[in-house]
Amino acid sequence: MTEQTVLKDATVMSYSEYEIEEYTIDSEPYYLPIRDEVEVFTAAYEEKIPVILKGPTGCGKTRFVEYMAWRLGRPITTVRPDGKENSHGKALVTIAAHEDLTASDLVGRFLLEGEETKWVDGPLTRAVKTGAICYLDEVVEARKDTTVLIHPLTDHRRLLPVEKRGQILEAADGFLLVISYNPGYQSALKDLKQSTRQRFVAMEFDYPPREYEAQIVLQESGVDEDSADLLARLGEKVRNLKEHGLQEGVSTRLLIYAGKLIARGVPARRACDVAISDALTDDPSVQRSIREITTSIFE
Amino acid sequence: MTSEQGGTGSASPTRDELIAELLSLPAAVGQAYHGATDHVEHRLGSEEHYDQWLSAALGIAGASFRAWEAAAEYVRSSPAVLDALERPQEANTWYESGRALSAHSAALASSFFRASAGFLERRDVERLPAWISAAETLFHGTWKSGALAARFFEVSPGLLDHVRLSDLATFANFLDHVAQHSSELAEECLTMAPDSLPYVDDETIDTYLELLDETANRNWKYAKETQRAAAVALPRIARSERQRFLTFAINLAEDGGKRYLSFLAEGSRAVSDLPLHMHRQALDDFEVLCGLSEEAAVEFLRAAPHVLERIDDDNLVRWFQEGVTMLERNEAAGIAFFKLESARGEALIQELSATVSLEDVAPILQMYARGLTGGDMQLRPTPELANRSIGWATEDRASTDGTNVFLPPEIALFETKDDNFGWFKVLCTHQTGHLEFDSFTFNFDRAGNIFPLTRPALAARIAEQNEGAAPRDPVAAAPNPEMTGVTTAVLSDYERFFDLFPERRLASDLFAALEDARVDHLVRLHYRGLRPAYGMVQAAAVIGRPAPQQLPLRMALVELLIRMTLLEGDQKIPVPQSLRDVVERMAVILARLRHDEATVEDSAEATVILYRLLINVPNTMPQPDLDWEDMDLDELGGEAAQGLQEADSAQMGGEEFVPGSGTEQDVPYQSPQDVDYRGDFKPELVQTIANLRKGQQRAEDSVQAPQLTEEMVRQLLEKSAEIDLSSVVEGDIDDPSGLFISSLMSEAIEGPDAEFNDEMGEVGSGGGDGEESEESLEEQEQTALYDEWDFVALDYKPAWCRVRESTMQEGSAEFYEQTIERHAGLINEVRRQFEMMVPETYRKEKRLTDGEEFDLDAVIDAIVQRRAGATPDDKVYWRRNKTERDVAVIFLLDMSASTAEAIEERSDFDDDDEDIPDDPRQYLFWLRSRREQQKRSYLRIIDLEKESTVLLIRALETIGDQYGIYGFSGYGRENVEFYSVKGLEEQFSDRVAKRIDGITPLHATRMGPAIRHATAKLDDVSAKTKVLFLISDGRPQDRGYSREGAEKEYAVHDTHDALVQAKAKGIIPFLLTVDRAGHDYMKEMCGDLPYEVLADIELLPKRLPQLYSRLTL
Repeated sequence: MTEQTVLKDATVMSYSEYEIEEYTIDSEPYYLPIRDEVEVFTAAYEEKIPVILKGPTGCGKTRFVEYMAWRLGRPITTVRPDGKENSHGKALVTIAAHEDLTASDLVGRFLLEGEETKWVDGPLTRAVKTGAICYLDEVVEARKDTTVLIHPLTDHRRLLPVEKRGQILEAADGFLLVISYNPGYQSALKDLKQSTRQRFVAMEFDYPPREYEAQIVLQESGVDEDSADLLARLGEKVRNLKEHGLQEGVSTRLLIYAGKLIARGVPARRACDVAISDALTDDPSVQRSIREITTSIFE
Repeated sequence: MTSEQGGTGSASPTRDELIAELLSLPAAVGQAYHGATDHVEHRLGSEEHYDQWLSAALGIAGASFRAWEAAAEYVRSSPAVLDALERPQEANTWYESGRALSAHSAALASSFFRASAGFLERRDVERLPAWISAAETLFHGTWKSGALAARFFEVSPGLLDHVRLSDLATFANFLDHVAQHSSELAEECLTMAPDSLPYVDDETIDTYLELLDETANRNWKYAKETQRAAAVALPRIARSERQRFLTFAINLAEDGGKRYLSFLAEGSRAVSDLPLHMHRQALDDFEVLCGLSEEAAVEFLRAAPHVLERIDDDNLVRWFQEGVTMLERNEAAGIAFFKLESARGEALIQELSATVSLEDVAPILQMYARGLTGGDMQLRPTPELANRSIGWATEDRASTDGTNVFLPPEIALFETKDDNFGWFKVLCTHQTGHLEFDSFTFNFDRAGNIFPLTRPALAARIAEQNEGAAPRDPVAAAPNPEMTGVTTAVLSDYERFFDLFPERRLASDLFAALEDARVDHLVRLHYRGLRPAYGMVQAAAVIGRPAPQQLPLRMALVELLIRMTLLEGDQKIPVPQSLRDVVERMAVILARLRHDEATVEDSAEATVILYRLLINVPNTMPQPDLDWEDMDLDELGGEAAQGLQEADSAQMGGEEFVPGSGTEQDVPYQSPQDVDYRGDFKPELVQTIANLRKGQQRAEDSVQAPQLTEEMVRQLLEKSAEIDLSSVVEGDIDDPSGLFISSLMSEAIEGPDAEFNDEMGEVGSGGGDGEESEESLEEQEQTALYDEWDFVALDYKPAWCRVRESTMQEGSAEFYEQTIERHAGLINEVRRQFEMMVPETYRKEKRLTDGEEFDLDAVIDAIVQRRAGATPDDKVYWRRNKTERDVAVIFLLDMSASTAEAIEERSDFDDDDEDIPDDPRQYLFWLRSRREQQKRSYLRIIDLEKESTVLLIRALETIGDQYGIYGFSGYGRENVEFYSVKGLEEQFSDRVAKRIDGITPLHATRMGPAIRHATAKLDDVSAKTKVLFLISDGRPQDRGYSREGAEKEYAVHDTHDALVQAKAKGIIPFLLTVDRAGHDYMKEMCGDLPYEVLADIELLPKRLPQLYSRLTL
């Protein structure tokens, strides 16, 4: 693939476009390690062991992968298939799994060009070829036949069969498959199969402890320290409501949103309404309960 | 005895002659004469008058047959009458009137004479004729009327205390009206008069009498009731409004019915429930309504007191006006409004009311509290805690038992809903504060963060002392076993702690105040949004507290401590200057305790310190020389005092507790007045309950561990300051503590949630459960309230029907098995049918504009077309579509009594042309078996419903749809029975099979609430397709499931509404009726919703699965 599509003239263009396998993390993403996750992930990467990130939504799984891609990419100067050096982070291919995600969506498909068919690689194939980290977000959402596809990639073989072309791809060295899922709201139907599960090491994520979360909110949202503390406290309290009316606790992401709104001058209680209580649920009585907690905590 | 003595009056007989003549009358006259003569002579004074008196007696006696009786009465009553007269000479008028009367009736005259004194005491003698003529109104020459008139004489003088003489005449008229129909009744009315007339005042009397007369004219039978009702009603009503009230009654009486009576009774009761100042207003409103609808007016009065309990006077006006508007628009709706049977009305009251009831806010606050504590706690009304009789007695103060938070049922302290809710929130937050900031995890041996740990050392010293000294007495020695390993494990830490203090109550009070202060501090620290409300509540809590200046000294200091915990830094408290250093030390300790890191153990240490301070202050009555001075709290707990404190705490460890120094002059120590918002804090009890539960848990896990025995609990509650046995257990029970202990112990066994589990009692699968659990589940009845649609008023009647859900009783499993055997063929057929319904998981769909892949055939087609110059079809993709069957269904069976009706016998028995055996023995046998057969062939509608159910279950189990089977029946709106045969979430089991046999015909059919309940159940599950399948045998009907003039339509409309509502919730309702006459009402009941009238009921088992499969595809 070529790289002419990298359009970075921000003054002219309001957006940036990357080839999927060329998207790298340029600057260090903010990530506050809670435990030994950085060390464990690095070890797994070096041993080419695929990783499952488990945890509720918005607790930092994706951010962690980004951070690791940057971290792993930076000291090791990877050589890309086109011979150029990657001086930034490591390429990170993120695929959000959904109900209709099919094998062709991952591997590639024939497209029509004129009156000929032309094969186009899917994102997984590209990641395998370039040795990127492929991050399959919310993998349980994908159909079961799709998840089976990754089996040969995730054991010692590291192979991707491309049936339609009658090919088998051997993964490039730097390739690592990372998947994430949220054990919280999966129904029995959407549980990960054991045969899939047992090809990964699993790293459990949860919302950070209050002090850490306050620091994260502070850092990410730019809100004042006091508000960040209170937001973290609010987060803790709202999470107590999980399974008492809320399917999921409030995510760190939403707390950060609330912080950003506050930093922009939205009154704290209002910011919490829009970013937390109303965002979390449509049930008016649950909203009200959360609002009561908010009004207790914020002036 | 001769009875007739002609009193021939020749020209002025001498006195002796007169006397002789008098004495010649029957003996009674003579006796009366001898009793009266002296007094009469004395009173009359002159000879002439006395002679007149004598000849009058003779005149009376001669007036008629048996008139001597009247004469005797005349003589006998003369002394009293003469006494009553101002001028005895006027007696003339009296006996002239009497003589005239005695000419009519001797008996009447007797009564007149007898009653005269009473009259004359009250009225002038000139008035006598008016009185007599009133009585004469009643007298028509008959014996009965005479008796009535006589009774009138007897009764009426007393009435004159209350009414005018002219009124008495009117009253007599009324009596006469009544007497024309029934003199007994008239007499009863008369007898009642002294009890009723006193309540009628001058302004009201005319109207009152008018009412009596009016009603007597229209319907004399109600005369007595009217009188009684009015007598009861009038005192209830504000004096100024009585007349108007009666006028209303008169208006209502115009139709001759009884309405005015119920108005008198209920209307007055309703008005009396209103505050006096509202009476005028209410009757004004009533008058307005009367012009529109009398029924509404009556309902308004009845409702007003209840409405006023919820909203204030001003809002009542708004409520009333809204009702009038509705009434003008639609009379039925207006009446429903004032009957409080209107959803709109209810909503309005809710909106206008400032009262916040726990019931309404519990879901919000419970979730709020769960958020704060992170626990699984429940929010319950306080009476529930008190009813458990485990130590809490007050019904209106918030508390927690360590697991759940209890709040008062409603708050109406403030004028707005928001303020009342704010109060609730503060109450709730303080209680959850105890949980969140760990009041109940107190550990005796753990050090706090602020104060040094002295408790264990203290305990050790006390133990030493006790060992050294001879045991004082066994009871006193018993509570000090801290240091012996076994018991420490089961004693609660709080118990050990409070055991340190000889004055346990003081320690308990100090600790409560300090711990509450610590919790309040942390709440205010962490929940700054609550600070304004909290500050308001705290400030309010100080108001109404006893003045410390009035209290005995030690109690005054405790009071000061509590005030310090409630007030802010710049506020003032009165401080006795002689004890200023003690107060300062208290302030410093409190200030140090109010630290972000303070733990419950710090509160305990602070208690130890303050206890030392206060135990040395004698609890004497206040001396005037104490020199109280208001001081700033800041000043008290300030820097200077801090230094003093440091020096203090160094020597803190060594000192031993000594009982208070003062002795004789000491007043017994009493706990301070409660702080309302802090509620009932009982740490010792909470820990004990927790320990009991833990012990129970260990026992269940058969772990060998020391157990709290009843004896230990008994000891605890005898010494604990937290429990007031007399208030926990009411009445004179021999052993109150025994009862208390047993409820405490059972509390531990059942666990905190046993009594109020609000989750549905779903029966677990598998039949292994013991009898016991089954019974307890059956007892566990769930109720839910539903509105009912009133199509005339075009409004819902709020919370009108109570659905009582319980699990169906179990029958035998045979029925299920037999049905399966009998219908084996049909079951297989149905099952095949159903299996076909299960869709393939992935179906390939072609010819799409977008999809997974090209459909090569389509692509080639498109290219060919393009080459040919035509516009190609761009639908060249295919994709696999995932289709899942996701169905939840409820089958609702009509269990009304009518389902017991037999349906025609099964055809295969009727035309049996069997040979009848010739042999008589065989014949008997044949006959019996035939009868058996016929008995079995007697089939009821419900049997078919049951069979169909079995078939359905078999079919549904093969396709895996989520299904529930329920039956319903009931009687009246309060008892809509709802039986669960198989819950929606329940797995099929043997017990379900047995329950099918339990389905029996019961009572009536109130379909609406049953449908609404089933709808609510379906609404709770997530499924793509939801079906509510109702099988009935006739039209809906129940007691009160109707409306005047629209008996049948009412039920039909309500059912229709319930079905439409189900539909609105995304549920497919389907009605199947086996009532062949169903077509006439089903159309109306279902509207455009699907239904079927099954012509041949025998088809039910077969038809049901067919319909089902069609509905859910």
